[in-house]
Amino acid sequence: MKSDKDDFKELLGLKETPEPSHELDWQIMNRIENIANAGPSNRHLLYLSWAFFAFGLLIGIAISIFWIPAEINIMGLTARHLPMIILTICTGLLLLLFDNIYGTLKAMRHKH
Amino acid sequence: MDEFYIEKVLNGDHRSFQYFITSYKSYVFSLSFSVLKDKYLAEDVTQEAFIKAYKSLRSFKGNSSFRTWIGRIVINEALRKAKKERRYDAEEIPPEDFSSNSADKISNLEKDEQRYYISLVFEKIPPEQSLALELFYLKEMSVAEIIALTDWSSSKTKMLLQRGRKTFYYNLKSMLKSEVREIL
Repeated sequence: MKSDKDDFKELLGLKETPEPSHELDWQIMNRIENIANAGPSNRHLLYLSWAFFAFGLLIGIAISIFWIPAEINIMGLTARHLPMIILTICTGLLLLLFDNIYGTLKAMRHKH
Repeated sequence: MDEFYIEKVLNGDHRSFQYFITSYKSYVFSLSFSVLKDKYLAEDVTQEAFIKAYKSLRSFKGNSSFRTWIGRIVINEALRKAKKERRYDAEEIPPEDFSSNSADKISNLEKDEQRYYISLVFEKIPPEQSLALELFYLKEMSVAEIIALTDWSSSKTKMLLQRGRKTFYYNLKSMLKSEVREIL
Protein backbone atom coordinates (compact mmCIF):
# COMPACT_ATOMS: atom_id res chain seq x y z
CA MET A 1 0.00 0.00 0.00
CA LYS A 2 1.33 3.42 -0.95
CA SER A 3 1.95 5.92 1.82
CA ASP A 4 1.27 9.66 1.73
CA LYS A 5 4.98 10.19 1.25
CA ASP A 6 5.05 7.91 -1.81
CA ASP A 7 2.05 9.70 -3.30
CA PHE A 8 3.64 13.08 -2.80
CA LYS A 9 6.98 11.86 -4.14
CA GLU A 10 5.26 10.57 -7.26
CA LEU A 11 3.42 13.85 -7.74
CA LEU A 12 6.53 15.96 -7.19
CA GLY A 13 8.52 13.69 -9.49
CA LEU A 14 6.32 14.85 -12.37
CA LYS A 15 7.91 18.29 -12.40
CA GLU A 16 10.13 18.94 -15.35
CA THR A 17 13.80 19.59 -14.61
CA PRO A 18 15.73 20.73 -17.69
CA GLU A 19 19.20 19.43 -18.45
CA PRO A 20 22.10 21.88 -18.21
CA SER A 21 23.41 22.89 -21.64
CA HIS A 22 26.52 21.24 -23.09
CA GLU A 23 28.28 24.59 -23.41
CA LEU A 24 28.30 24.90 -19.63
CA ASP A 25 31.25 22.46 -19.41
CA TRP A 26 33.56 24.47 -21.60
CA GLN A 27 32.36 27.79 -20.22
CA ILE A 28 33.42 26.68 -16.75
CA MET A 29 36.69 25.16 -18.01
CA ASN A 30 37.40 28.31 -19.98
CA ARG A 31 37.06 30.44 -16.87
CA ILE A 32 39.21 28.03 -14.89
CA GLU A 33 41.83 28.16 -17.63
CA ASN A 34 41.82 31.97 -17.40
CA ILE A 35 42.15 31.91 -13.63
CA ALA A 36 44.97 29.35 -13.75
CA ASN A 37 46.91 31.32 -16.37
CA ALA A 38 46.23 34.76 -14.95
CA GLY A 39 48.91 36.85 -13.24
CA PRO A 40 48.65 38.10 -9.69
CA SER A 41 45.16 39.02 -8.57
CA ASN A 42 44.04 42.52 -7.56
CA ARG A 43 44.36 41.54 -3.95
CA HIS A 44 47.97 40.43 -4.42
CA LEU A 45 48.79 43.68 -6.21
CA LEU A 46 47.32 45.60 -3.30
CA TYR A 47 49.47 43.72 -0.79
CA LEU A 48 52.48 44.36 -3.01
CA SER A 49 51.80 48.08 -3.13
CA TRP A 50 51.50 48.16 0.67
CA ALA A 51 54.84 46.40 0.97
CA PHE A 52 56.51 48.90 -1.39
CA PHE A 53 54.97 51.78 0.48
CA ALA A 54 56.24 50.57 3.87
CA PHE A 55 59.67 49.87 2.41
CA GLY A 56 59.86 53.36 0.83
CA LEU A 57 58.81 54.98 4.09
CA LEU A 58 61.53 53.21 6.06
CA ILE A 59 64.22 54.04 3.50
CA GLY A 60 63.07 57.70 3.37
CA ILE A 61 63.28 58.08 7.13
CA ALA A 62 66.65 56.30 7.27
CA ILE A 63 68.12 58.56 4.56
CA SER A 64 66.79 61.70 6.19
CA ILE A 65 68.22 60.76 9.58
CA PHE A 66 71.62 59.41 8.61
CA TRP A 67 72.72 60.77 5.25
CA ILE A 68 71.51 64.36 4.88
CA PRO A 69 74.04 66.91 6.15
CA ALA A 70 72.83 68.78 9.19
CA GLU A 71 73.95 72.16 7.84
CA ILE A 72 71.28 72.24 5.11
CA ASN A 73 68.77 74.97 5.89
CA ILE A 74 65.87 75.82 3.62
CA MET A 75 63.57 78.53 4.92
CA GLY A 76 64.37 77.60 8.49
CA LEU A 77 63.79 73.87 7.90
CA THR A 78 66.85 71.80 8.68
CA ALA A 79 67.60 68.09 8.23
CA ARG A 80 66.24 67.55 11.73
CA HIS A 81 62.75 68.39 10.42
CA LEU A 82 62.98 66.02 7.46
CA PRO A 83 61.61 62.87 9.18
CA MET A 84 58.59 64.88 10.28
CA ILE A 85 58.04 66.24 6.77
CA ILE A 86 58.35 62.78 5.23
CA LEU A 87 56.01 61.31 7.82
CA THR A 88 53.41 64.00 7.14
CA ILE A 89 53.56 63.40 3.38
CA CYS A 90 53.47 59.62 3.86
CA THR A 91 50.49 59.83 6.22
CA GLY A 92 48.64 61.84 3.60
CA LEU A 93 49.55 59.28 0.96
CA LEU A 94 48.58 56.48 3.32
CA LEU A 95 45.12 57.99 3.77
CA LEU A 96 44.72 58.31 0.00
CA LEU A 97 45.90 54.73 -0.49
CA PHE A 98 43.56 53.50 2.22
CA ASP A 99 40.65 55.24 0.55
CA ASN A 100 41.67 53.67 -2.75
CA ILE A 101 42.01 50.19 -1.22
CA TYR A 102 38.70 50.51 0.58
CA GLY A 103 37.03 51.54 -2.67
CA THR A 104 38.65 48.68 -4.58
CA LEU A 105 37.69 46.09 -1.98
CA LYS A 106 34.14 47.41 -1.91
CA ALA A 107 33.95 47.19 -5.69
CA MET A 108 35.41 43.65 -5.63
CA ARG A 109 32.89 42.54 -3.01
CA HIS A 110 30.06 44.08 -5.00
CA LYS A 111 31.29 42.31 -8.13
CA HIS A 112 31.23 38.92 -6.39
CA MET B 1 38.60 8.93 -6.84
CA ASP B 2 37.71 12.52 -5.84
CA GLU B 3 40.78 12.76 -3.60
CA PHE B 4 43.03 11.70 -6.48
CA TYR B 5 41.75 14.50 -8.72
CA ILE B 6 41.77 17.05 -5.90
CA GLU B 7 45.44 16.26 -5.40
CA LYS B 8 46.11 16.65 -9.12
CA VAL B 9 44.37 20.03 -9.31
CA LEU B 10 46.18 21.27 -6.21
CA ASN B 11 49.47 20.21 -7.78
CA GLY B 12 48.82 22.56 -10.69
CA ASP B 13 46.98 20.36 -13.19
CA HIS B 14 43.94 22.59 -13.53
CA ARG B 15 42.61 20.54 -16.47
CA SER B 16 41.86 17.71 -14.04
CA PHE B 17 39.05 19.86 -12.68
CA GLN B 18 37.08 18.69 -15.72
CA TYR B 19 36.50 15.44 -13.79
CA PHE B 20 34.47 17.30 -11.14
CA ILE B 21 32.47 19.17 -13.75
CA THR B 22 31.60 15.95 -15.57
CA SER B 23 30.77 14.09 -12.35
CA TYR B 24 28.81 16.74 -10.48
CA LYS B 25 27.36 19.04 -13.13
CA SER B 26 23.89 17.48 -13.11
CA TYR B 27 23.76 17.29 -9.31
CA VAL B 28 24.86 20.91 -8.88
CA PHE B 29 22.48 22.10 -11.60
CA SER B 30 19.48 20.24 -10.17
CA LEU B 31 20.06 21.74 -6.70
CA SER B 32 20.41 25.17 -8.21
CA PHE B 33 17.31 24.71 -10.37
CA SER B 34 15.20 23.54 -7.45
CA VAL B 35 15.91 26.86 -5.73
CA LEU B 36 15.78 29.20 -8.73
CA LYS B 37 13.37 27.41 -11.09
CA ASP B 38 14.94 29.12 -14.07
CA LYS B 39 17.31 27.27 -16.37
CA TYR B 40 19.54 30.23 -17.17
CA LEU B 41 19.84 31.50 -13.62
CA ALA B 42 20.52 27.93 -12.49
CA GLU B 43 23.28 27.60 -15.08
CA ASP B 44 24.84 30.88 -13.93
CA VAL B 45 24.85 29.70 -10.34
CA THR B 46 26.22 26.28 -11.37
CA GLN B 47 29.09 28.04 -13.10
CA GLU B 48 29.79 30.31 -10.12
CA ALA B 49 29.67 27.36 -7.72
CA PHE B 50 32.30 25.43 -9.72
CA ILE B 51 34.54 28.50 -9.97
CA LYS B 52 34.24 29.07 -6.24
CA ALA B 53 35.02 25.40 -5.59
CA TYR B 54 38.10 25.63 -7.82
CA LYS B 55 39.35 28.78 -6.11
CA SER B 56 38.85 27.44 -2.61
CA LEU B 57 39.82 23.82 -3.26
CA ARG B 58 42.82 24.26 -0.96
CA SER B 59 40.45 24.91 1.93
CA PHE B 60 38.63 21.60 1.33
CA LYS B 61 39.77 19.50 4.28
CA GLY B 62 37.91 16.31 3.43
CA ASN B 63 35.76 16.37 6.59
CA SER B 64 32.77 15.78 4.35
CA SER B 65 32.59 14.35 0.84
CA PHE B 66 33.30 16.58 -2.16
CA ARG B 67 29.64 16.12 -3.14
CA THR B 68 28.43 17.58 0.17
CA TRP B 69 31.01 20.35 0.02
CA ILE B 70 30.07 21.55 -3.46
CA GLY B 71 26.39 21.01 -2.61
CA ARG B 72 26.79 23.48 0.24
CA ILE B 73 28.49 25.99 -2.05
CA VAL B 74 25.78 25.81 -4.68
CA ILE B 75 22.94 26.01 -2.15
CA ASN B 76 24.42 29.16 -0.60
CA GLU B 77 24.98 30.71 -4.01
CA ALA B 78 21.49 29.82 -5.24
CA LEU B 79 19.72 31.09 -2.12
CA ARG B 80 21.72 34.34 -2.33
CA LYS B 81 20.76 34.72 -5.97
CA ALA B 82 17.10 33.97 -5.21
CA LYS B 83 17.12 36.62 -2.50
CA LYS B 84 18.68 39.11 -4.89
CA GLU B 85 16.18 38.36 -7.63
CA ARG B 86 13.28 38.62 -5.12
CA ARG B 87 11.02 36.73 -7.49
CA TYR B 88 9.34 34.57 -4.92
CA ASP B 89 6.85 36.08 -2.52
CA ALA B 90 5.45 33.67 0.00
CA GLU B 91 1.68 33.52 0.02
CA GLU B 92 -0.34 33.16 3.19
CA ILE B 93 -1.80 29.65 3.24
CA PRO B 94 -5.03 28.92 5.10
CA PRO B 95 -4.80 26.06 7.65
CA GLU B 96 -6.76 23.48 5.70
CA ASP B 97 -5.99 20.05 4.37
CA PHE B 98 -6.41 19.75 0.62
CA SER B 99 -3.86 17.06 -0.13
CA SER B 100 -6.06 14.15 -1.20
CA ASN B 101 -8.57 16.41 -2.92
CA SER B 102 -6.04 18.08 -5.26
CA ALA B 103 -4.07 14.87 -5.79
CA ASP B 104 -7.24 13.16 -7.00
CA LYS B 105 -8.04 16.01 -9.36
CA ILE B 106 -4.64 15.99 -10.98
CA SER B 107 -4.69 12.22 -11.50
CA ASN B 108 -7.66 12.70 -13.85
CA LEU B 109 -5.49 14.71 -16.24
CA GLU B 110 -3.28 13.47 -19.08
CA LYS B 111 0.37 12.80 -18.21
CA ASP B 112 1.62 15.82 -20.17
CA GLU B 113 -0.90 18.09 -18.51
CA GLN B 114 0.05 16.71 -15.12
CA ARG B 115 3.70 17.49 -15.82
CA TYR B 116 2.80 20.98 -16.94
CA TYR B 117 0.76 21.79 -13.83
CA ILE B 118 3.20 20.25 -11.38
CA SER B 119 6.07 22.26 -12.92
CA LEU B 120 4.01 25.46 -12.69
CA VAL B 121 3.09 24.71 -9.09
CA PHE B 122 6.71 23.99 -8.20
CA GLU B 123 7.73 27.38 -9.60
CA LYS B 124 5.51 29.09 -7.04
CA ILE B 125 7.06 27.46 -3.99
CA PRO B 126 9.54 29.67 -2.07
CA PRO B 127 13.21 28.69 -2.65
CA GLU B 128 14.02 27.13 0.73
CA GLN B 129 10.82 25.09 0.77
CA SER B 130 11.31 23.80 -2.76
CA LEU B 131 14.91 22.90 -1.97
CA ALA B 132 13.80 20.96 1.12
CA LEU B 133 11.20 19.09 -0.96
CA GLU B 134 13.72 18.31 -3.71
CA LEU B 135 16.28 16.96 -1.24
CA PHE B 136 13.85 14.93 0.85
CA TYR B 137 11.48 13.51 -1.76
CA LEU B 138 13.44 13.41 -4.99
CA LYS B 139 17.04 13.01 -3.84
CA GLU B 140 15.74 10.79 -1.02
CA MET B 141 17.94 12.33 1.64
CA SER B 142 17.18 11.89 5.32
CA VAL B 143 16.56 14.92 7.55
CA ALA B 144 20.03 14.42 9.05
CA GLU B 145 21.63 14.46 5.60
CA ILE B 146 19.71 17.63 4.68
CA ILE B 147 20.91 19.27 7.89
CA ALA B 148 24.52 18.32 7.08
CA LEU B 149 24.18 19.77 3.60
CA THR B 150 22.33 22.98 4.37
CA ASP B 151 23.31 23.83 7.96
CA TRP B 152 19.63 24.28 8.80
CA SER B 153 18.41 23.25 12.23
CA SER B 154 16.32 20.12 12.60
CA SER B 155 13.16 22.09 13.41
CA LYS B 156 13.70 24.43 10.45
CA THR B 157 14.13 21.48 8.07
CA LYS B 158 10.97 19.81 9.32
CA MET B 159 9.06 23.08 9.19
CA LEU B 160 10.22 23.73 5.60
CA LEU B 161 9.14 20.25 4.52
CA GLN B 162 5.74 20.65 6.13
CA ARG B 163 5.18 24.14 4.73
CA GLY B 164 6.54 23.08 1.34
CA ARG B 165 3.96 20.32 1.08
CA LYS B 166 1.19 22.64 2.16
CA THR B 167 2.25 25.34 -0.31
CA PHE B 168 2.47 22.74 -3.05
CA TYR B 169 -1.04 21.43 -2.48
CA TYR B 170 -2.45 24.91 -1.95
CA ASN B 171 -1.03 26.16 -5.25
CA LEU B 172 -2.10 23.00 -7.02
CA LYS B 173 -5.63 23.42 -5.76
CA SER B 174 -5.84 27.09 -6.74
CA MET B 175 -4.37 26.35 -10.15
CA LEU B 176 -6.78 23.51 -10.89
CA LYS B 177 -9.68 25.61 -9.65
CA SER B 178 -8.82 28.51 -11.97
CA GLU B 179 -8.35 26.03 -14.82
CA VAL B 180 -11.84 24.60 -14.30
CA ARG B 181 -13.22 28.14 -14.17
CA GLU B 182 -11.53 28.93 -17.50
CA ILE B 183 -12.98 25.83 -19.18
CA LEU B 184 -16.51 26.63 -17.92
